[in-house]
Amino acid sequence: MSNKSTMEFQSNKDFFSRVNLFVQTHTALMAVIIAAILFVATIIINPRSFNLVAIGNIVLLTVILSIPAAGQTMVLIGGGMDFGVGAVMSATAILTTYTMRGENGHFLPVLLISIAIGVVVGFVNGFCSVKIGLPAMIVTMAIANIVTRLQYILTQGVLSGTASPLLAATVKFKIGGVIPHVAVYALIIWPLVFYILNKSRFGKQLYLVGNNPAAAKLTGIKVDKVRIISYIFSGVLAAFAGIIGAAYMSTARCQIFDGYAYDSLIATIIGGTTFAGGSGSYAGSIAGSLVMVLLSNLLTSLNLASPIRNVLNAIILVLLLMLYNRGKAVRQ
Amino acid sequence: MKKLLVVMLAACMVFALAACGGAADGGNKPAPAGSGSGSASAPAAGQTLKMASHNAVVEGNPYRVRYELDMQEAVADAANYGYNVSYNSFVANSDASTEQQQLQNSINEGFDIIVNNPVATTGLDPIIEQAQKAGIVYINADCAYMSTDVDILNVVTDQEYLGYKTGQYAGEVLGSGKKVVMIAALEGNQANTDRQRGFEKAIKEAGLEVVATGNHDWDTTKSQQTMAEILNSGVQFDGVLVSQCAENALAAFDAAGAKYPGFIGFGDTGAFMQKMLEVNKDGLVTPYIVLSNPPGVGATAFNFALNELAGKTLKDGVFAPGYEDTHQIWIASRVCYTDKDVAAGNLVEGKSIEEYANSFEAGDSITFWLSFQEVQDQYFN
Repeated sequence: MSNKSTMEFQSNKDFFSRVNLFVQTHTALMAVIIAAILFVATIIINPRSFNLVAIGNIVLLTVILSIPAAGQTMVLIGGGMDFGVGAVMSATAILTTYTMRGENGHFLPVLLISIAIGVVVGFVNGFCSVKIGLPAMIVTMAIANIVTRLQYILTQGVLSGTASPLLAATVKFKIGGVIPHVAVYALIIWPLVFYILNKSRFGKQLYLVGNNPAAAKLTGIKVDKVRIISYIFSGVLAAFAGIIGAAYMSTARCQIFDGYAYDSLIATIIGGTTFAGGSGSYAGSIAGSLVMVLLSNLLTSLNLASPIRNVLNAIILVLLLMLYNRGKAVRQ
Repeated sequence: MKKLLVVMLAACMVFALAACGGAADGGNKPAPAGSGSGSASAPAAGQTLKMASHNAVVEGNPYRVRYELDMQEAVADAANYGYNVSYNSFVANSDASTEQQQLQNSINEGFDIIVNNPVATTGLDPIIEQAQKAGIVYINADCAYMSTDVDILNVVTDQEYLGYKTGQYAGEVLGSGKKVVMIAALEGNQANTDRQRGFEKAIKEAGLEVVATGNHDWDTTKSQQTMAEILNSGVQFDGVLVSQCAENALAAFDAAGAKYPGFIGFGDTGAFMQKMLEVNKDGLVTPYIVLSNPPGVGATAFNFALNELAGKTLKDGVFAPGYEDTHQIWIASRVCYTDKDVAAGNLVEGKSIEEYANSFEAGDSITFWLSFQEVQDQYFN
């Protein structure tokens, strides 16, 4: 090999190493870049897809997905996993439509009962996986199954009631004809989650617990308590997302939002939060939610047959995960 | 203490997971002796017949929930014709091997009637033959079983009509050359295949142009999401052809703040009927069509089984033209109305359309089933 080609090879290697390093260290930013690429690709394929309706819809769906993703982010950072967010969302969505029955004035009881459901399910998930030591994936799926069975017991599987017009308006009404009102919920929840994760004592403890539980314990942190609280947060956020989801859908059947367990987990991982725990950010999870929504949009723009669309969706998601989210476990 | 908790939780999880597929005994009151005659399997006086309703899926699917409720009503109604029937329900959760095991179990348990809403359109030939050898009346319901190697009845709704009628009315209100969106149900499902055949035939006849397609898989959330994404794509269209879940497709317009389409259909739920009345209350905004795809088709299939068990023979020419080889009996849609019927003040099932639409819960769909006597009169000698 000549000196010139050796230098070129070395130069290319350095470039890819730098790209790889950038990708590994800026996962949230990568999710934003991927979202931008998807958005631009959609517009190139179909210029008409750049319209106000589309922007409003993208904001709406991203906000809804970002709420359970917030809980998922907390649990993953703490070293756990929550496959129960979809079941909790479905349960509170049913509670919302069943209680409201299309009439205003029931928001407070619905909110309080939903939060209670989220707290109970989150606590049980946390207690079983943290205190008893059952595998988080299995236990959260099993508890989710119980929550789902209860939906059928209470409703007999029959869809009943609708969200109140006022609640529906707080989600669907467009500010300036473009931005859906649901963005107001985002303005409350997003900063709150940012504060909890980045500024509060609990957030700092959560990162440390997920990163190195033994070290966290030695510093006096109640590791189990912190992890259980992360599950409770996840339950509560999923419960709230169920109310918002019911407003978006107007009606709710059993298991209506079960798919959000998968979607929120993927969005969180795309956003840079790893299964290993101790790393990740909510900004990344929001960007990951945006990626999920834009990817679905892009595939619809291609107007492909449903099976091909589903296969493509799965392949792209696997590629995205392979591309930049391969964080090594930081364990002692 | 921890061990005890582990054991208790493990038991709880096993219980929860096992609850996916269980049997529910519908029970029935004793009734006078059966009136069957002529068949070797004709029930003896005072005999209780055992009926197994096998379903690919129930949970998460209001249509299938109603299907089972209608089945229970038909079982109870059989007592009026002198049949004591006990009812058990089995759900395979869309798993073909579970379906086979459950069918095998029903054969072993000595059921008299099996009504199966199958997971797939083929693959059950050996077990069907085994059931028939055991003297069990095996009827396939709702989704057609397409094997020509077994001799069974397929009692299904006339899906082709639902698609055709919708496309035809869309063509009538929109006019030739107009652009439509087509949101189909579940790819690979026989009911969807038949329905799409009807849609495509009418689209061609009416000269409509399909500019965007999607599938909702009979999932209300997916219907709304698919419609939202089609709206996002900015594609220009005049009408929406949707294979049920129409109220959810329409909800996507609400969420997006988009102008309602020039046509939408078909829908068959209380939510759709009520929503369309509201949309058009101050004058016609969106023409639409309501058609029934009755979940009661399973209950109707059960009454075919009872008639077979009673030794009755089918009339000539009852099979759907072109589908004689798979013995398909297509039950016609009973309810069909459009915005024009509303404007004309026409009645549906003896009620004003407003009264009829408001008599439904939001998620409940239009249903009906043919009684033992109605099936006998229409299809048997």
